[in-house]
Amino acid sequence: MYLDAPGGAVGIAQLQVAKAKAFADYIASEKHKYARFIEARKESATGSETVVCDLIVEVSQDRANDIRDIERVAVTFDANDEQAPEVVALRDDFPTVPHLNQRPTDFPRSLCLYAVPYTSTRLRWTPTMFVERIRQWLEQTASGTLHQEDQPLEPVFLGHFPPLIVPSNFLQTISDVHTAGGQAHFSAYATGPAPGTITGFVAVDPNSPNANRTCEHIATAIVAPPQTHGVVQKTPTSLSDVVQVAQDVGVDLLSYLRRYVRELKNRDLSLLSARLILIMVFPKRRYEHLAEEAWEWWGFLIDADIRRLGDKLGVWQVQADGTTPELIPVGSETTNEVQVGIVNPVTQLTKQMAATFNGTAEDTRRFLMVGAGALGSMTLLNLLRKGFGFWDVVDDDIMMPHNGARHALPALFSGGLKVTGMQQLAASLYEATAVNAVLACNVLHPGAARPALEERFQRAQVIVDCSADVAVARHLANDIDSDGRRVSIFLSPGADQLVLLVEDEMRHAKLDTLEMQFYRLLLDTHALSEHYGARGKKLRYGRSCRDLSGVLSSDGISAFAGISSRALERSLSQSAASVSVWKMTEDGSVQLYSTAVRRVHTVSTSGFRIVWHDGVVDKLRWLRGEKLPGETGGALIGCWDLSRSTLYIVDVTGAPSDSIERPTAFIRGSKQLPEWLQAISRITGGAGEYVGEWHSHPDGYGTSPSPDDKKVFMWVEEHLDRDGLPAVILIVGETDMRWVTTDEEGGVVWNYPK
Amino acid sequence: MHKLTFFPLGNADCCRIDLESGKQLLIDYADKKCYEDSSDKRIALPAQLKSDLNGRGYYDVVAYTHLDDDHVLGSSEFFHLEYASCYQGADRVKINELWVPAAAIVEDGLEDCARVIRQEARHRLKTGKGIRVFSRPELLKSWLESEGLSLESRADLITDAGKLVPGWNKTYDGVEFFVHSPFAARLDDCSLVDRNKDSLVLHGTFTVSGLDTKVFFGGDVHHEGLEEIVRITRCHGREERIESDIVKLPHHCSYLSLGPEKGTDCTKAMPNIAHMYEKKLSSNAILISSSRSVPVSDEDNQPPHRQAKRYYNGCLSVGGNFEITMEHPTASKPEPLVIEITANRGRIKRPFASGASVAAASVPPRAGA
Repeated sequence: MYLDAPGGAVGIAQLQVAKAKAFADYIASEKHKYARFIEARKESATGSETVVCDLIVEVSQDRANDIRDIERVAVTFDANDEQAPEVVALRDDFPTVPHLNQRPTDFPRSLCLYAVPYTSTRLRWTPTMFVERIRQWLEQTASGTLHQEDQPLEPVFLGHFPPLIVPSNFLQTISDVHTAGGQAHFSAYATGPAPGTITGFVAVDPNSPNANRTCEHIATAIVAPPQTHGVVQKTPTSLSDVVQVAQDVGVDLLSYLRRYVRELKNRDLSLLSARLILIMVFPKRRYEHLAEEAWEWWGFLIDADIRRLGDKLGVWQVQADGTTPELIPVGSETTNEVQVGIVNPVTQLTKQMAATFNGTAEDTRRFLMVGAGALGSMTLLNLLRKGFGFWDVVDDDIMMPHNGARHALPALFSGGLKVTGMQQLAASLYEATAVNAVLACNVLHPGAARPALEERFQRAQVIVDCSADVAVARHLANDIDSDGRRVSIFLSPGADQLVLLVEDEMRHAKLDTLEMQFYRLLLDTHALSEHYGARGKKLRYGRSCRDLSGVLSSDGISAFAGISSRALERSLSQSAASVSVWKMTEDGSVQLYSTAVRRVHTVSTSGFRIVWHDGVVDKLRWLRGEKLPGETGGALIGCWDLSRSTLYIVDVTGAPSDSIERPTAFIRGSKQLPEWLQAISRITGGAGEYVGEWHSHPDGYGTSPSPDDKKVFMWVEEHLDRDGLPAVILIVGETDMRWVTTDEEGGVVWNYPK
Repeated sequence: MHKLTFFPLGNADCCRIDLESGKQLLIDYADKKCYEDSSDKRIALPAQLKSDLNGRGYYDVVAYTHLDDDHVLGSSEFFHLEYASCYQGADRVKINELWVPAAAIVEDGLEDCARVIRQEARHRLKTGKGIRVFSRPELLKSWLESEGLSLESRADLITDAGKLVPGWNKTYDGVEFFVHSPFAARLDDCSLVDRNKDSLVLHGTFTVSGLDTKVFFGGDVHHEGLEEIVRITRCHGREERIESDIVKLPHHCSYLSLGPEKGTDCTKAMPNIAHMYEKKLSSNAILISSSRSVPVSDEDNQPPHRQAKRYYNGCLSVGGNFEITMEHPTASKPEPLVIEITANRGRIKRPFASGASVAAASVPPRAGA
């Protein structure tokens, strides 16, 4: 049998609510072959209008829920179209199923059709779409797929209620206390835009910074026996309803509350003016025979302070002067006079949950970040939000107002240390901060902080350099004692390119050698030739001569911070080293350029060491091979780190066109060479410069320096001595290369790997 | 998932079985649409089948339950027949295996499509390929000998009632077919073969994920035949072969498939037939009447009969369905009735395509000056 729809019957022509009329017209037109018009109705008091129709749906012969292939529904349209049209099933034995709306009565059942607010669905609302949505709901409910197997179990109460934010271990605490036979309770305060307009509640974790806050609410919890889903379909509105709900699940709430208010009064009389949030915990299981798999829990905000509540429970009688003499024996209860609202307990975010919400797994490695500037702070913030890593942060910089334009920290932190600010920010992201320690020091000159810094370096599994300082990157690569993998992240001077250098897991390719391969990438990639060219504008933010800051856009920093945090996570999931550059154009499009990291080689002479990689070897052998049987040569392009007595070879040039290349002689010309060197210097930001000469020997001649070669060496020495730099020449042979230096006149031989 | 499709053909039959394995079977083919009459709501069967075949070019099986017009009409224009080149061509649909009752081999005096199908069946039986005849083997003995063939040489192409159709099983095809008719008791002493009585009647057990759905394909069996079928099946203790989740009702919902008397309001079924419909239909069963709409009056003596419909409806549980092919989904616009068979048994498909999606998938009329 069918239940009555609201209102009185009217003709379609008498419908006045536009959507109701459109819906009725559509159904009556039989344009939808699976919808049949039954009648239209109108409620004069509210102006709402209802269309009753039969919907024919697809159901299997075997069904999870008793949905019939013809279901009669009433669709009620709000007079002002402010509420979503409500759809109720009129069959008087329509089953209790998941995804029903809360109503004051069990019947008719109201279908919960949308997870999004009506303001969103209204934009695309059409009668066809709506009929299809209802049919889909019925069909999926019939097959039991509306509530997916992998979906969390149905909340016991459905609807939208103000949240009660509780610590993540809240349930565990309650459970432990319950198991021990005690009662758990927390203080709580209300939040909202103004007093009296409450948007939610926050239960205070006794360990949090809010522990001493004055609280006007007190939350207590009781644990019910396990439930399967769909227990309660009616929204409790008074305390007596809640008592009934509790009784239905086997809990004597009345006795519990009577005992509890007495305890509160005995503990502290001031608690009499607090309000109670009652939390009921329902362990949930999917089917009767299965173990409980989730905890469903709801809060009831009791609209009476403890003083009045005790009165309504019959525990005491409130006198005119506010005193509360107890009634012995207890009086009768009038809990139906106490209104309740539902609050929805939600646990505070944890690092692990943050990772889950980011679609990733929590990373628990220990990281150390050097440099908490704009890019570093934003990258760190992204990674923290993803639950990625536990961090130490090192920076001695003070937050200045102008930093606030791009930094993760707002300018309000100005005057304090950036690292302290980041520590505070991290502590506010979720429970149990992921920033372990911060050190306010310069890694190159740590001073008194050195022991602490060294200890942190040693413990770090990954060291992330965001200092934007080559000196720091080289220091981290070579001078500190740590097994941690090093990563360097920096922007081009024009802030239009992001660079990420990641060492391999075994640290064969260290940051300094990756820097050289990065220069090689710039030299080989036309699109990156302006990496160091586009110098950004500088603005003065203070009076001292160093109070200059580059003009960088916050959105550009944010975009690159997004890329760098993602790329960092990805790179560290792989064991290989990488050199990557992202270039952003004016329109916001980003292109990635990367190079395969080549094997690095080193020879040590008595005075210094020379470092190069397979990219250089390949080029030398190719240039030599092209000119055989003649000799050829050119300039060595490199980069001196005199503090570490290291020469990095970045690249080599071919022979200028006016060179003389004979089978047993090579005279390097100079045509265009100065221009080449100038271009190289510009592209590499001055890092790649002339550091010596190379030439080849024909097959069968070995690489021993000839008398002529020695003259070339002396020529180079004479010139570079003027710059205070050692001389180097390189002889490239059939099976080996030979580095000739001031201290090693005979040269140091390096054989090509087989 | 398997799929059964019943086409709106008026009082005529065609059911396609699409198996999960990809095999396709057609049970009967009768295109009775009057193409000149624009008000004829019957589906254009050849076009629909060709469109569904989507270039496939053949059916694994085409079964004719018997050779009346309402089961064979138009076959000679649609199928590629091997016995004569005039029935061959690239656009004709091939039949890998032809299933026919014995009557389709031995009966003389057939005309038109029925004759063509008989000739094709005889040709295939003579060549010994692409045919299955449902019969008591001995009945075909004299015909085979008249063609110079021995019964032994064709025995594996003949299936008697009470057997499973060879070559089909639940493990590989997800289906087995049990043969109810033609059966020997009826044919033994027949000097003249009554085609309707000797209609092919099959019981299919479809399985998905180990769960069965039982479908009774009633052909055009009359009450005497059906009563005997149920009686014999019960005698052999094979109740499961008369249990059904889905029934293709015999003879377009004719009272004669239930009992000898139409009845005033409700036909009374014979005892064994009543046992089958009243005790052996599962919950939420689906009964399909391949017919026109059921008239409210008794002026027309042709099926469907309202008294029979009333009887069938009374056999259904609350969630059951009585579906008439010419009324699905609406009498004004009938469409093929599709039943998906999953582990949850049958589900009548009721898809609704938005106007935009239909428009996008169709060719609009020519536009322009």
